[in-house]
Amino acid sequence: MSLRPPHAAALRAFDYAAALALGATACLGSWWIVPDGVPGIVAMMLGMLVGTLVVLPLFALLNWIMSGFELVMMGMQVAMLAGMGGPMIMGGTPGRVALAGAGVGLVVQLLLHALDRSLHGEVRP
Amino acid sequence: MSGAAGTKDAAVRKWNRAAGALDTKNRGEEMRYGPYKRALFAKARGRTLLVAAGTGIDFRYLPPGLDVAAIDFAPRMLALARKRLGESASPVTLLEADVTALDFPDASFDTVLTSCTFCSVPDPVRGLRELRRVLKDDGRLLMFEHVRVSNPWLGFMMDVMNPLIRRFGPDINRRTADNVRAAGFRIEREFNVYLDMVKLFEAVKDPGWAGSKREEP
Repeated sequence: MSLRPPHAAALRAFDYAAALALGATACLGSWWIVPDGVPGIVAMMLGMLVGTLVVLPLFALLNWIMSGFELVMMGMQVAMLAGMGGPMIMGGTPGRVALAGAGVGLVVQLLLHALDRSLHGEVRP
Repeated sequence: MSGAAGTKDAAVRKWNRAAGALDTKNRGEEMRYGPYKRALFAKARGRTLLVAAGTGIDFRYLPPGLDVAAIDFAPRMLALARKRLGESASPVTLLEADVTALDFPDASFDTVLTSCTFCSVPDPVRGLRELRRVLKDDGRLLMFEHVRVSNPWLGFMMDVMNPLIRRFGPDINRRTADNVRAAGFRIEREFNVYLDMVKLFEAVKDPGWAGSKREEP
């Protein structure tokens, strides 16, 4: 059955824009906050935590605008992965760091979109 | 107070607190999943039990020709749902009730509807067994639910996040299909709405269920 909501394309575009924004925010936040000189694995773990925390206000706003499990699932992945990557960027400018984070968001959302397309519909026993 | 009662009381308090903001928070979900709910609810027939009516946001999806009893265990939800009775195409009676201990007689409903219900019921299998009891032998259980995904990484993430999320909202890692079968239903149809996380289920009573033999005197 075809039951796509009337504004499916707009909803999908919103999810992609949200992924870019969440990725940029998480990556910038962890890049700024996690100090230089922290050992690699610790910096990644700290970055994951910081990334998750700094996106919470933006996530709450996005969820208020257009909630959905699509947003929850993507937000969890993007915040942790982009946050983890932030402290790994040596030097760089805020613009480039934000771009890298947005790239993480885009990749995660593309993967989830592809997985959803493969799973959507009747489940065969 | 027993542990189960304490768990239920905590759940009632949580959902009473959440009631006011729930519709605003769920606006996007209604846009995304509304057509799926409407198609599922269109399959309801006759005397129908709507479990966890919440704020009544699903009344608009009820087709005409039903006689609906809508229950919820949170009084504040029912107060909001009362304002939405006019949105239903079928008459709806609102009742404060706990799905794990229903007052209805055995086999009193042709259809049972749930909508994001068994993510919040503290003892889901017990609740589903109670639904089995009140459903007629030829009745149908129609469910719109979110469940734990099968992808190992995403499923792990849901397990990790669940202790935090359940403080404010539902459990996000329930294995509802397994619970439905454990309660004595046979799933006839399963439809993935988003990933294999948001799903439609259509189930009937499993006549061969081992528990049904134990129920007989």
